[in-house]
Amino acid sequence: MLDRVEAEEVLGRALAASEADAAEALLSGGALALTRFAENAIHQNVAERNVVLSIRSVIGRRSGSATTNRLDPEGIRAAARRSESAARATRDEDPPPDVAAPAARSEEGAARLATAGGVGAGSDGASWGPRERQEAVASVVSCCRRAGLTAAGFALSAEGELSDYGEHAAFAVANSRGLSAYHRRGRVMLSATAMDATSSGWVLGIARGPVGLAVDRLAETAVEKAVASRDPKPLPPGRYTVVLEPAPVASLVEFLLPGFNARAFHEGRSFLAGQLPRTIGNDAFTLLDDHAHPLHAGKPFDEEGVPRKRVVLVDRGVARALVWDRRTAAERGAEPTGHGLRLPNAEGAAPAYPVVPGGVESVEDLVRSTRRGILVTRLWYVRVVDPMRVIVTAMTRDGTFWIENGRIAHGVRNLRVNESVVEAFGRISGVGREALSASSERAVAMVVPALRIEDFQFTSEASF
Amino acid sequence: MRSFALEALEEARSAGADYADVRFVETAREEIGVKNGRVALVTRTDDRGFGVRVLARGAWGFSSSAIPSRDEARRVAREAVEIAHASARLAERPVALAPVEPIVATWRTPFRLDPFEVPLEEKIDLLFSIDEAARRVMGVTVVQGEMSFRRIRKAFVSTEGAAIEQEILRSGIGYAVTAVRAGDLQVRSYPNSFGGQFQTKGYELIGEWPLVAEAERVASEAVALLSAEQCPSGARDIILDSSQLALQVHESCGHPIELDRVLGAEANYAGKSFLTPDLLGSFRYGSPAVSIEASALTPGGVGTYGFDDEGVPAQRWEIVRDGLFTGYLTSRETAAAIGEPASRGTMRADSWNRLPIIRMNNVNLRPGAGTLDELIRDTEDGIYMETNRSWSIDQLRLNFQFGTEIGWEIKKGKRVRMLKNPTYGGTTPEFWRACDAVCGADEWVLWGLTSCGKGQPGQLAETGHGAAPARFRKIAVGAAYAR
Repeated sequence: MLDRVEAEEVLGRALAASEADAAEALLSGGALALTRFAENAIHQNVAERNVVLSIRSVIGRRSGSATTNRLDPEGIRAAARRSESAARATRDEDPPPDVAAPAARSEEGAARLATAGGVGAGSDGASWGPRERQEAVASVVSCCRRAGLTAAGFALSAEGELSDYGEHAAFAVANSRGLSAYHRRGRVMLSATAMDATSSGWVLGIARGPVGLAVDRLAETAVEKAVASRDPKPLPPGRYTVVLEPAPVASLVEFLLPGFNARAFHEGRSFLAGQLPRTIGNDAFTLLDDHAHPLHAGKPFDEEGVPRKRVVLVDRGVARALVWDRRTAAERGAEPTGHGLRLPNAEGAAPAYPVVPGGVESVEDLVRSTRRGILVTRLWYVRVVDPMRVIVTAMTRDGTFWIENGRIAHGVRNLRVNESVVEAFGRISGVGREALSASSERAVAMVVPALRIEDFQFTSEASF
Repeated sequence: MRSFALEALEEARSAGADYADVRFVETAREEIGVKNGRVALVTRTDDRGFGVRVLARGAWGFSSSAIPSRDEARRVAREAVEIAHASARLAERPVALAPVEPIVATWRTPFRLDPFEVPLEEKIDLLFSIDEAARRVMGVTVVQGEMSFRRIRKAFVSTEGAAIEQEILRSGIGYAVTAVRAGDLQVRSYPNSFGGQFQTKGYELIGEWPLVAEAERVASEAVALLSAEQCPSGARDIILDSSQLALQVHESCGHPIELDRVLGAEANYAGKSFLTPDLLGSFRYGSPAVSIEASALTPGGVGTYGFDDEGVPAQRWEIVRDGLFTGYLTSRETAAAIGEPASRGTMRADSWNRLPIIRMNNVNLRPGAGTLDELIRDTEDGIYMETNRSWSIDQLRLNFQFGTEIGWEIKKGKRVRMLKNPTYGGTTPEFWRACDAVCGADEWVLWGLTSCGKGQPGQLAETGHGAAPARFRKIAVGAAYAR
């Protein structure tokens, strides 16, 4: 992971190598290490360091881009040349491409980051080395073994902007107009699945450093879920009251996010169907994009270095705003919000730090106030069936329970969901405390609460 | 590259590794996109690095780096051993590897036209031709076309004496037309959805598909779907086109036969499998019309290579024979779990910075007989579904649901009306046992999927699936839209 001085030096060399009319250079990537376990043993244990340079060249009314992980002078020069030759070979763009102007961080933004502990504050992911991760895993395995269960999961430490599937986001951006931005962060994650012959329980913890991960409590939770859902009973498909823990809520919210991309909205591809304001959910549902939320402490600029704004996307059930990349904003006479994706791209912008404000109740409180319903720990293989109604399908997994008179009565077999996220959020009847969680496949981190939703649709059941 | 890799091996040995291998991988990519009459994407990527995998004290360790220096190679090798030692503190039993003859060889994807030598202007011009042809159709909202090319050069050396160099070239092309009206959105894609068609071929792949000629038909269908009737719900006979069937094979056969996930390696993430080892050789996976093979030898497959990332040669073998479950995808570590003396060579890493894990290569449904037209004529009452739009399956690979872009109702052997939003679902073995006809070789297409996710940290594999259209009786249709 490069520090600010090192990053500025590499970006400076990239811009100096450019022969274009304007150029933008970004660095992405970082370092990631992951200890994976299954069947009570560590079976995969890996480490990676990768920093990637992207150069976008603007020549006349054209632009092209090249990416390399060769940061030596020859590698940088070669990338600059490839980027320029791509620009020359393509076609004129309208409006003509350019690079972002430098902008001072707003006082509000700086103050909020100071409250959050500053950019990348507390990032000590690098201190969770192989030995420390092994010890954390050993605690989880030990807890599972004591309960007669088998453990699987992972312990991850990462620095920079390197995601689980190897996508890189920028941690440093500079351009030929003098823009310069840098952000450093670390994170750790621990996930565990405790398994029995007929049941399983899953947890995911995310923190800025190992001190923030309550490893023993996470392990105990996975064990409790697996034990409580042993010998699950069948449940007929139908509509039920559900209590969704934060992770399945994140899985559903993830499918609303593309609809708030201004480019998609104006192309007619958003579920908002060209209408703002528009009712989305009931007044229990608010959705923001806020990188400075203390649980996010995220990057305060987008992939062009444009400062991120806090955007209230949905205010008490009414969708009110979009996120704008610089180009779409210029075309439509709007202000960019600092949510632009890496150029070049066909998509525009995306919310990056979703927040659904919560209440004061715990998941247990929500269960206690539920007469009959289903508690869902995790949704799996969530995919959109209908993008305009945001109908998604998914399976429940790793801890699905029947609630009777405010208590967990027994486990139930897993169920297939087919439900419109928009319509479901119009039936929210309970909101828990917000927590940092993630959709369980791609680990898109979000600050979301548990939710109780009425009449949630399940259309078939699994045999387990 | 070779001496640098040998130094890494030596460092790993001196740090205590009993086995080590090094993969050095260089990848060049080019991606071009045109959307609604504008160039949306022109990017070239070059990436290189190396990964060192070691066995020490009976456990695996892996480290990697993008810095190709001798000092870094030694550091990475030592780190891999340190990681293995940490793994060994929590190991149930020492890892044992099935033997493989160490091979010294080279292998390259055969191709005619190097896509990296084709002028960018020519590629952009073709995408613009498609774009213009599609946007002439009234009612079209968005047209998006993309080309993608990837060349991987990799070198593999091991402490057992293997030294293999491979060069794999892959091309891809596709476009999607979106039509939106009154809160409804419909898409038609060609030659396939989610990026199009991908094969290990040169630029000649692009010329194999009538991309411009089909654009008007594809766009017209997207618009027509807005006015089409909603696909009905209920138990129906369905015919799936070869591209949808390719994904069905991928999700419901290719994944559950990955032996590492059968043995629990993916339990926290991708899940396990209903195809447990006790079922091998005795479980009726499908009807007698269903035979499926795995092969790293299929010409043009995105899962085709000379050697896997453990140095095991490419092979071809049966997975399902006339409906009977007969085979798994295996590795040197897992082969013994099913009593096989050697790996089938399916260990693949998506780049230098990832540990190889068992992945599909090309998992193909054997063709049967007859044409699609003949199969439709033979169907009294059914629905023909084409081109995947959505997919979802549970973590044991049993309960699934798929959606396609378009359907046609079949009555008395004829297509009678277009249907929108078709979805179908079921349970894997019941579904495949309901297959009563598979079309013949003339209808068989080898499709390439490029975004198969597995592993932690996540890896994307490119997998090939050949299939011809097939019919399935009394399948649950339309649950996603039932209210």
